[in-house]
Amino acid sequence: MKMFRSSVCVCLCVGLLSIAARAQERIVIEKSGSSAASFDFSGFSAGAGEGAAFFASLRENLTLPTFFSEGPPSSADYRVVGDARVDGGRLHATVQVLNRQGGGRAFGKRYRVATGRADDLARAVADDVVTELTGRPGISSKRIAFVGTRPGTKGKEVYAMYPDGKGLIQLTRDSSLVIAPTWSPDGESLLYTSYHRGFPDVYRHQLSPARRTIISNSSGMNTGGEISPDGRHVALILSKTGKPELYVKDLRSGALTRLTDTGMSAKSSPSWSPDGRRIVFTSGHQGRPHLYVISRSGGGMQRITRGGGEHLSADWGDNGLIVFTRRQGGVYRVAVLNPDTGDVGYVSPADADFEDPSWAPDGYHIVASRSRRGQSSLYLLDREGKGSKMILHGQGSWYMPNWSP
Amino acid sequence: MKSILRIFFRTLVPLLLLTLSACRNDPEPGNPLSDETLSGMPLDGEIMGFDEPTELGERGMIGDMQPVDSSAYAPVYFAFDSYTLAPSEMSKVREMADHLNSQTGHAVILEGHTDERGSREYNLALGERRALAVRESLITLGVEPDRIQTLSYGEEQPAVEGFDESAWSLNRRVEFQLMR
Repeated sequence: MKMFRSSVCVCLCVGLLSIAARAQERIVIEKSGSSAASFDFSGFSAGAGEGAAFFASLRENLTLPTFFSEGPPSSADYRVVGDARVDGGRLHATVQVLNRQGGGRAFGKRYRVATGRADDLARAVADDVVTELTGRPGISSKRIAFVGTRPGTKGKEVYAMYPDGKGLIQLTRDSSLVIAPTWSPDGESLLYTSYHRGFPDVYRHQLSPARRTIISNSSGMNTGGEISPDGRHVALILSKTGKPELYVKDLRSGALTRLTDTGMSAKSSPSWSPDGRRIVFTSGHQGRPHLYVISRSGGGMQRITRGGGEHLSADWGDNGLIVFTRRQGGVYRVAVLNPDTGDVGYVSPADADFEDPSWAPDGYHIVASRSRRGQSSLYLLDREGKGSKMILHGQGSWYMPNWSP
Repeated sequence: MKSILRIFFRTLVPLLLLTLSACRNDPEPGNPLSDETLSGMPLDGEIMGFDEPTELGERGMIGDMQPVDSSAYAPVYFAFDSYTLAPSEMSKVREMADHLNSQTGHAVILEGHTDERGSREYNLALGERRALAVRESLITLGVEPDRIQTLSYGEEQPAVEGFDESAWSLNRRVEFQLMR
């Protein structure tokens, strides 16, 4: 009897202790991202060469989200430990993320990849860690496309790069003007407006293998190309009838449907709702440029912004929120609007012009351009306005970023 | 009670600590990051020729024409965020209409421009609206529509660099480019 009682007590104790131990293993960042966390990297062991390159890139990417930073061993929330070395022609990496308090393990994985892929691996690992700690996708592995102009070169070109600033690649060599690149939903093509054949026409530029086709070259202006979530239609602003209106073009049949008929006014930047049923766009037909939402068949147009100023460059995220540029008090600011509640808030600092925002794949971060006196850089923001990080600056002017899905 | 606690501390706690530390030493394998699944999309570094169709769409004849010196025809200027033709600017439009009505072999491209305020995309449309306004006036003055093309540059080709109204006012314009 005594043994039975003691064994029950023991079982209970073991049970309770293991539950307590498991709860200790991870500090879960709330999905609102309101609690930032810091990493101490001093315990990681990287070999020379690719191991060191992997570690440097991991460090860069893990502190890229606005809610993560680096901290000293005495106070950082997490310790990143492990090693990375080349062995037998492959890069081997073991990465563990441990709570500073209690030492429980929040993340632990090992990886093996061909040499020459240190940066790709670091980005993938950083995304794995972010997902494990926050429940949210990472932002490191999806490219950002944008327009750039470099000193000493003629015209503007389309570029792409990873958000950590690496892998910058020039995608066009037209020495012409180009505007507003947008990614296709499958992430394999870019749409943009290019003047390389003399007039503003919309092209589809498949990246691999490289191939470019004309999407719209009607008379007048062709711009605003964005492919629908189901990949079958493209929204366009065309002036072929003598006034700029919003159209939807069927990519297979070429059939064109005009959605608006507001008379003479400027229109721009159509963006599809996540379910593909509606489009948000800017129109000046009531005076100042405001955001309007219309059904994809053309009915039910509604204005969704109020007040003075300009409302431009909307991007409708998979999270249901619309990020856009608003001019207020003489400065351009990035704002986030909930189209269901009407709530709007600014998320960029007020010290410079922030424009042309685009949602990151995690629905939390935002990439935008920041300009002062004609020089533009790319910045990372978030939808709560908690952080801003510079991700591309210098050696040219960079703007109109669009983040791959 | 004492004996239970003794058993607990002598056997189970060390056992627990052993188990916990053993867990810590064994990371699970990561995602199967084969060389194929890593998304290093091989982008072509050299984008040279594209295999594009040669059709000219609806712009038709203008694409075959050559530019004609148009420096005698001053640009038409506009107020901020406006595409309305001021009466003072109408004389320039009339002169161009007179020219086109007498030189029937000429066509014209109306190049619309804006100052640098506003988004690039919206300015593209605003520049186009300005060009379209001039086009409407030319049509009213008797010029055939298919001899007039619009081409908006938005804010991309300022006449004057600068960040104040003296520069901006010179950039809000429609320029005439005659073609033959």
